[in-house]
Amino acid sequence: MEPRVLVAVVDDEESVCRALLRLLRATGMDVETFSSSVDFLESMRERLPTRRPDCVVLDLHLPGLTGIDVQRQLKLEKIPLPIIMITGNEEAGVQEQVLSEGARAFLVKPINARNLFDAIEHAVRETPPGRPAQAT
Amino acid sequence: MSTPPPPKSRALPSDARRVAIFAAGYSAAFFASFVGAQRGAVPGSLWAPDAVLLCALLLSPVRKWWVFLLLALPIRLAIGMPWADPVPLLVDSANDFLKAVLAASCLRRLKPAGGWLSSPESFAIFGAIAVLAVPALSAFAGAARLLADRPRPLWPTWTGWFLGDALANLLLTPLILSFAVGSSPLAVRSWRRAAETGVVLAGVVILGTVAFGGGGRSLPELAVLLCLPFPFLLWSAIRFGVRGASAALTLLAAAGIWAVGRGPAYSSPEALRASLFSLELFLLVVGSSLLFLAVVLDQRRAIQHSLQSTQARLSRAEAASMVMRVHAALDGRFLRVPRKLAGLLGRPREEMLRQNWKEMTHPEDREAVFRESERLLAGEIESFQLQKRLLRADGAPVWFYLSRSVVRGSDGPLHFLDYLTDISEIKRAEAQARLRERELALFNEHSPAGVAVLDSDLRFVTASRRFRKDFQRDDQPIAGKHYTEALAGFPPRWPEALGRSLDGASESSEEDSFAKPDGAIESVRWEIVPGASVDGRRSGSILFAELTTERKRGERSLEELRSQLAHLMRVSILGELSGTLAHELSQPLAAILANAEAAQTYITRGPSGIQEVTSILEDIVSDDLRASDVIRSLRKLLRKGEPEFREIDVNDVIREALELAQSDLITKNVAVGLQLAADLPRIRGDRVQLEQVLLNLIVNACEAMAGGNSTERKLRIETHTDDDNHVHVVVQDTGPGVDPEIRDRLFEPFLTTKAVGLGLGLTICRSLITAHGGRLWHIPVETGGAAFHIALPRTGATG
Repeated sequence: MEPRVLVAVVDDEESVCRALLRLLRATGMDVETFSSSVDFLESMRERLPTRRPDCVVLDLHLPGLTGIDVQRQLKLEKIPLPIIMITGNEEAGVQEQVLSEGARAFLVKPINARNLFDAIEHAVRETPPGRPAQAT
Repeated sequence: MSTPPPPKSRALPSDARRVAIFAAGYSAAFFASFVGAQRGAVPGSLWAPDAVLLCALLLSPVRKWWVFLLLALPIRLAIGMPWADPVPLLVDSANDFLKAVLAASCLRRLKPAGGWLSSPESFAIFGAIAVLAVPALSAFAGAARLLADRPRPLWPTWTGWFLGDALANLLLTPLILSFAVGSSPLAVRSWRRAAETGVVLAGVVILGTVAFGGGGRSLPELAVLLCLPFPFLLWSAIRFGVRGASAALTLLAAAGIWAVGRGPAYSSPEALRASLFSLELFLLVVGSSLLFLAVVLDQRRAIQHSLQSTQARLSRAEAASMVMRVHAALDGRFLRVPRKLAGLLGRPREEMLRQNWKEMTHPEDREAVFRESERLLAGEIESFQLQKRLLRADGAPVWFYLSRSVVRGSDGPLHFLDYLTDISEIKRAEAQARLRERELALFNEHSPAGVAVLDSDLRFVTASRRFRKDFQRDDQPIAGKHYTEALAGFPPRWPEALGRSLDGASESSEEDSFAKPDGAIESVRWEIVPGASVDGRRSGSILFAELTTERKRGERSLEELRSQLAHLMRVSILGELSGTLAHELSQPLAAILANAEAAQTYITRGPSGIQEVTSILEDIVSDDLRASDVIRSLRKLLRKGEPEFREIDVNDVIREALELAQSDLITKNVAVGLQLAADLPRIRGDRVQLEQVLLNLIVNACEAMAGGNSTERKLRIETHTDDDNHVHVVVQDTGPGVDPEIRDRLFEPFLTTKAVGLGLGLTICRSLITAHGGRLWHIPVETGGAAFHIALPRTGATG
């Protein structure tokens, strides 16, 4: 049996977190939710690389450290995690910036389920080989 | 030659004194006449007591006559008893009393206004009654008594009796009366006059004695001798009047009688009687003539004196009055110039008397005076009056009121009689009044205010051009018209207010209106005050009124503009917020979509999935409601329309504004610190406008902080109550603060530091807060950043 994909969802909006959790679980994924970017980063640092999620669905507009800040921090701390950036506000130039800095996808809310699944699948598949999560 | 003053009316002596004087005088007179007659055997030559009694009766009221009659009787008895029997004494007394009472009664009845000695006519009446008629009657009774005593010829007896009485009444009565009503006989006015009196009287006595003494003279001798006292008698009459003449005549009579009695023995009693008779006749004729002359002279003197005193009074009156009398010759030369006129014109009086009217009359006034004078001389008019100017010595004109008439003699006009009144003060006052009138007219014509003056009948006296333009029905002259007829319309309160103003009450209205005949409604601000009150009489009312229709319209359109601009700015702010607002909406929508898609999966899983779907649906409802809230807030801010002023809680408004700005704050990573006072008083205001102001300040703060370090972006919003009953709001940021260069112009329109935007945000914010009766101002924060303060009056607080 193909190992289940673990997806982290980071959004300060509780209802959005809960909705995404339901949607992803319904398609058989494991989901972890974080309402704060700081909590999320802390959790990633504490974990062994094998226990880390396969990808993260990250809200761009987070209080304190924003989605871009988190993206940069992960890169800085060399925590390789495919990022799917989601946002409620389509700002000019932001999408290009996010993608150029390594995010796998940039989705604008409300997010069509198909697009999200595709993005996750795409992100997980493109994860470099040898990655413990996929190896096991 | 000095003129003696007229006999002054002396206060009559008191009753007691008068009775005492009478008793003394009567005793002396009776003694001299009665005893002298007994001794000299010349009975009744000058029967003095009757004259004294007549004077006493004439000078006393009738009801007191009995006192004198009762007093006279014992005197006569006491003095006469040693010489005569009591019966003839009593009979003679009764005769004499009756004579005095009869004469006094007749004289009183006919009493002339000025007294018996005031005119020849009254003296003639006096003579006819007191000297002729009554003594003649009485003489019959006296003669009858003597004839009864012993037989004697009737006519000589009657004549002797009559002459004695008549002479006494002729000479003594005027003497006593003139002293009784005149000044005291002892008063000495001047030594020269006293000496003159002495010479006259001495002359009369000496020459009288010489003339009548030593009988038996030849006729030519007698004629010469009788003429001797005459000059002194004339002298006394001319110089001393009735008083002097009567005194001189009395003395002459006494001296003559004495001289006749003491003269050389007469050949017979008939000869003595003849001498006495001639003396008496002489005195009667000369005396009456002389007294007539004296009366005439006295009358003339009195008239002359009264004329002089009238003239003196006139002169004094002229000196005191404003009216000056001028006589001018027909050719214009001055004949009489009052000192006062000369003084007014600053010219010497003597110089004026050499000059002509025309030279001194102002050239512009000469023609009128000349024309009217011609008519006056031609007899067309009796007099004329006009105002004219006379020129002072220095050339300055002085205004006079001239009243001119002409004095005519038998040959025609003699000279002009002018009365001049100095009216320069009146003219000055007139000029001043004209000036005031002109100023008032200018004020009326040019005053931008609507002012009207009404009289006590509420008719227009005057009204300013502005007032006439705004209120008058037509363009006819407004003066004299009643306000109800002159005005095109007026507020309904005016009739009562105008009525009350006549009683001294003021009334006003800041906002009133009335309908014009064409139906147009005019707004008006007015005030009605009582007019001036002079001597308790009120002149009327004063009305100030201003049409405010245009201003009101302007204010309304300004209000509309402000409202529209405020709306535009709200739209603009929401435009700035549109990104974050989209985020705000997309969050619930995202949740709803995800939930719905999850539910599609769960619903296929049978009963186990149903439970999940139930909780999904709950979330969907909640998210939908949240999206609706956002849309409602947006719609509210985008709403267009009139502001609605209600009691609101500023804290609520702040919270709502923050909700709208929530996403922006999150996006820009701005931390919000709220310090809202729990017991904040409510204020009266428009919720949307206040939210707009707060939103504007919040968005500005976020933009100001966007450039700085994201960890230091702090927005502090604080509310509290001021001491002065204002609710105070502070919106403070940690941005770079306002550039000092533009700090003073921060609220001016079109001032902007942004790449986009009109620079009207703060201008509109301030105008909205001002419309709420509040203030908006900026204070730089020392630690960096800007703080905007809003003060709004709390409900119920003034200002």
